[in-house]
Amino acid sequence: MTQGMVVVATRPPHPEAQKQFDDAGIEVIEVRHGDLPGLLAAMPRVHAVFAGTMPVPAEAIAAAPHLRIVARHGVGYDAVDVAALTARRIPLTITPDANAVSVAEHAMLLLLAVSRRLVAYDARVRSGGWIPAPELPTHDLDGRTLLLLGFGRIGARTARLAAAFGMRVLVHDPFVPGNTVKGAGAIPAPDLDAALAEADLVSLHLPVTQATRGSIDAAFLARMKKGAAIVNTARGALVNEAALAAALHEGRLAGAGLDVFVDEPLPADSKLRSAPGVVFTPHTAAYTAQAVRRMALSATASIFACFEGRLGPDDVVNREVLPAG
Amino acid sequence: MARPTEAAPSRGRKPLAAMPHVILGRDLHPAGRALLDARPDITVEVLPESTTEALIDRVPAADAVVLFLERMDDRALARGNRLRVVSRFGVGYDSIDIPACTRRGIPVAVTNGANDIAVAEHALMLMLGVAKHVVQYDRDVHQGVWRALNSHPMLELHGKSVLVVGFGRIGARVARLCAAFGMRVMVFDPGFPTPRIAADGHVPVRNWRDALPQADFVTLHCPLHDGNRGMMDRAAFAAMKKGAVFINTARGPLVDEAALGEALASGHLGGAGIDVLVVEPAAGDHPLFRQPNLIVSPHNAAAPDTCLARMAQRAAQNVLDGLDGTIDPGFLVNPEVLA
Repeated sequence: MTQGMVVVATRPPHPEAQKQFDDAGIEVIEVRHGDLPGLLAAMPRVHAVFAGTMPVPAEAIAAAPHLRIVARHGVGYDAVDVAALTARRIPLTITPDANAVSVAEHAMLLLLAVSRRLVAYDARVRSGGWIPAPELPTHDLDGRTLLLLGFGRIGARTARLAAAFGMRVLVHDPFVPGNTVKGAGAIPAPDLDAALAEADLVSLHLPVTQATRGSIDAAFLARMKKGAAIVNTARGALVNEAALAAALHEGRLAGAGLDVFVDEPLPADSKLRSAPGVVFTPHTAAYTAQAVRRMALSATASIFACFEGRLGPDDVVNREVLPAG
Repeated sequence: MARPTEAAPSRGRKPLAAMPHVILGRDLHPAGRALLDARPDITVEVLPESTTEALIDRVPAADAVVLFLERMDDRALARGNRLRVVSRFGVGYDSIDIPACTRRGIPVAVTNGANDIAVAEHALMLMLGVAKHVVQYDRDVHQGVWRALNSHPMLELHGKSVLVVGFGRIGARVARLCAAFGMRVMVFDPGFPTPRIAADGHVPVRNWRDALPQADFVTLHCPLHDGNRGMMDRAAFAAMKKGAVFINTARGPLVDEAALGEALASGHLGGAGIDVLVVEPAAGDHPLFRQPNLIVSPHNAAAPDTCLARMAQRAAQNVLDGLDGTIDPGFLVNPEVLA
């Protein structure tokens, strides 16, 4: 059932996943991240895409007559042309259980690092400074108010961790019933403006959709408390970076912890680079050793399940392509 | 109102006999200073500079002192004939000669219960920061280097083991936070009954050295004394798991810094996060700072404003209670002086 199948991988599979492919007689073609010509050249022979973060556009899908599944190594799928897949009844899967732990931990790290100016103080000590600088005040998380935008797997996990730190956790998520939020020990905040006026820290945990793209704009940032900070481990495209950079440069926001950017790598001329109070990581939140392994094994399991005709709905984005019942 | 005497009175001038005089190593956070200033029956002075020499110079006038890192040793005590209470701003007391104070019947108070939240948060931040290589990645992104695959391999805390050395107010909080992250928490504290540690959901450890090979993270939360100075020596770092992470928010001299540097340089340790050093302030060219995946902060774990305010209030209250003879022995390092 799997012998002779061909998988194109746009990131190197974890060794345990590679071994599963090898043992099953599945050929893996590796394409370097961003090498679209390489991807297009491979697609005519391919039955599955083991998809990293590089785009899988309609033209790649059209070039693959045997394609049966695109399995994302991760949870975001804004770089995959879902409509083109659905039109051919090809499932797109994600790895929802694999990265929530790591990303929630990363969000906590950025909340702490921004509040305590970890990077600035590390640099200060290395340049011979010691006594805490008045212009670099630090804050506990304990007793402060955190607003989470989005209460999915990662947001809910972040809420639990933040509560353990003694934070007051507000949740704004129009798709989650207030009682679900209450049941998890957090406070539903259907009125975004009211929540922004209270929050010392805001953390983003929502996908990019037509409604959310660019929604963290100048107006949103202006409604945040003066001296508040924002953390983004979700998607760069949620944020208007020029507006965020302006709010930081003007001192209206005290800091930003960003793992994701509109354009990655972060362009050399980004005004965020020179902004005060920032902590950057290069979209690494989900890439701990443990999460990478789980993502690879989860994506690989979806590919095997598809080849063997037993792919269930849990990890499928476009469930309408699955057989009814 | 008290009469704040911001500048040191000229040497040799006799302090008012009846008015207790309080000397502050540095000025206190306003929240604590207000408690002192509200008392009309005391005078307050701030040392011109926060040094042991300045303390020795002025201590003859003091009925009470609030100390930061100025040393209260035999030299100072020999001149501090009026001293009735030594109030430390912080919880460590290695800068104070406790037996000498006790011999003279001087209570030594610390600001316990005021900084545990802040220091525990800082310890968790350093654990996360080292595990996720945040300082290196931040530098990369700022310098235009994007993630090269596996350039700085990262860890999840979830599912990892941590050895918490010291189960006092800070260590107990760190243990709880680590448990919230889904870590396996081992706790060593010879002064704490092991059933109590187990009842809190942690794994009690009888010998901290024996537990080192099992721990992915080791974090220190014990006071410094002669019995544990340099406890983290070459043998201790060698006993740690390859790739493990070492965190110190307690006291620098608990660590043999040369041994830590070697363990980092050889790649035996995966990283370290330190808020304290043997010599503080540290020189910017400290050899440790050249080691890979080291995060350092300037002993500022307890610097958040809310924490400084709580500590200043406690330090001031300890002075007032010490002068009034009403001090709670729970805040004393040497409660036997009250007996």
